[in-house]
Amino acid sequence: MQRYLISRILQSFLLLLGVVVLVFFMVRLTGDPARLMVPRDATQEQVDNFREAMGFNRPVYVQFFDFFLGIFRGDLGDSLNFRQPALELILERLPGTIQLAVTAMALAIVIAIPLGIIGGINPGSLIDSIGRSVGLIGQVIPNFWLALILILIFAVHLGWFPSFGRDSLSSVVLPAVALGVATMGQLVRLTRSAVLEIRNEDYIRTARSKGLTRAAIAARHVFRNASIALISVIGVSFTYLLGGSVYIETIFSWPGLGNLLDQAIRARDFPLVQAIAIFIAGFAILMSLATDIMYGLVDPRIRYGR
Amino acid sequence: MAEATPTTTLDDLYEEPTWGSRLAYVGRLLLQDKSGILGVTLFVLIVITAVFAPAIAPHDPLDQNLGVAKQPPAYQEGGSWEYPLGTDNLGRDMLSRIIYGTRVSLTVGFFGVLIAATLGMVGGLLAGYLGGRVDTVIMGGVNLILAIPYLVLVVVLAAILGRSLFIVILIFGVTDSPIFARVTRGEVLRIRESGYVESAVSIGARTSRIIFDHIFPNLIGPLVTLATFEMSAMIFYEAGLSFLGLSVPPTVPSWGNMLTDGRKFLNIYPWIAIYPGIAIAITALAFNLLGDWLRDVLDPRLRRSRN
Repeated sequence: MQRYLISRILQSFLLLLGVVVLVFFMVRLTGDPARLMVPRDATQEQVDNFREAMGFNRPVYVQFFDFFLGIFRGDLGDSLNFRQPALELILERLPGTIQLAVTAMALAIVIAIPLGIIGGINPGSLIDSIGRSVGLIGQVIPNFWLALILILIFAVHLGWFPSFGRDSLSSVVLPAVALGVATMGQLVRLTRSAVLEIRNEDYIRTARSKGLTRAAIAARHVFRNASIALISVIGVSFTYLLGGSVYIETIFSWPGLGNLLDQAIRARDFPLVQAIAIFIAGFAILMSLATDIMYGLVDPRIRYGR
Repeated sequence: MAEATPTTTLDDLYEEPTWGSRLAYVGRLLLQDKSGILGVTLFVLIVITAVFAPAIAPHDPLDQNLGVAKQPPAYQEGGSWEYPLGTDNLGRDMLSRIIYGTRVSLTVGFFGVLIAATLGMVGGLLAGYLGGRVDTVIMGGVNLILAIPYLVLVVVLAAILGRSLFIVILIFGVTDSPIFARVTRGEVLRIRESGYVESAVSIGARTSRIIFDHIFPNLIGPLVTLATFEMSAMIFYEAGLSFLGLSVPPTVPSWGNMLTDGRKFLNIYPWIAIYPGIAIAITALAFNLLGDWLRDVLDPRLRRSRN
């Protein structure tokens, strides 16, 4: 397990390094980052002054090392628009996005997994049909459209939930549902097929011949083996949720990282865009590492090597 | 000359499948699978709509007519059958815009996947077949791109590179290729392990022959299925990018652009947002069902039980 852990941590670190390089150079793809960040009607002189002030005149590798070393000091650049250090802004908005992503994930898990398990154990039943419909709907409906429809029905017509802001406890409901539906759909399908597969495995037959009740089999064998596949998907879904938050937060005016990214892009505030992209990617890598560690804990085959 | 010649030889029993018989087999498979029928039908309808849009659409999608602006769909009060799904805030016919939107979506989906599949397949082939350092480098790049949440990656690139259909297609093509690379590499590795390759090499077959005769046929199934699902995903993401104002310019009728407009008038003229979303959902449904059906048809395990 230790070797697995160390190699995964090393991998994550390299990946993070790669991401920083990638994002850094993405922003400089057009060749002149200064042009990218100034208003379109700026004069040539203003552009040149800007370029000088931001240090874009220096050789690229100098800029990069400067930026990279800055990361260790907690300096991810400064936002042009807000005139604040980017990291400050990011940390301010981070709790909002986490709350949204966690709520969406929790909602998805709580609804999808029971549906999937019951559907897998009783294929063809009513609950199975419900589960499979949820699975299909989740895959087919665009979440930003769903967000608008939810606002239309539940906020405008019924008035049950607020349609913007993060003021009350009920504010998180609509955004979380909109964000989580796709993941819900995926999880239902995955759980169902995992359960169906596992049911036919030999160890289940052994358990039944030992006389275990269906509940005990479900809890002890089915669930533990299904959770291996589930953990991977949940890890990947979290990355997806982080991305999806860009639209959902914008639609609901939810103060989070996604919203900040959208604002930064509209304001052509690329230092901030760069910082957010690196931060979100770093966070995703961290989550992926955490998922793999959990994976290692749950699956003994990984823990004890091949 | 009394020779004991067998009356039936193996050659008589085995019939090489012709394209006609293959098509008949696929046809039979299709008729047995209800959701497959739905998927294929919808898919064909959508493609026809895109190709024949000028003939099908009742109005010019760019035609602004403020006199009839903000008209609700035909079944509501104030609507008329001349504009069956209503008009938007600038008086453009919703139905025509949705029909033309099919073109943008399918173009992005098709060409995006074409680029992604080509890049990914080449990368995956090289990585899987050559192994070693080439494999490490290519998969390193793949993992790197996959480490960044897809939407963040695409949004940042689109913001930097600008708004045009061509750029969007290019972005999707490049950023989606890692998935194709991974799948291709997986298949190549699997085939390498299976002994076909070893025996082919041992009889002295050229590398290109090995690739074409053994690896390609096994790649087609998974890649086509993957391509179908990725097309669906790209249509979503294009709409999402349009929604954030980063895809095609607002003059071009794309479903995402329409949703952006619709959002502004959600309380008062909700139909501007509702119908494009339904169009996206139906298209995604078609591709998903098609992909599921293709996966069943192209499954090599089923292939063996043919004839």
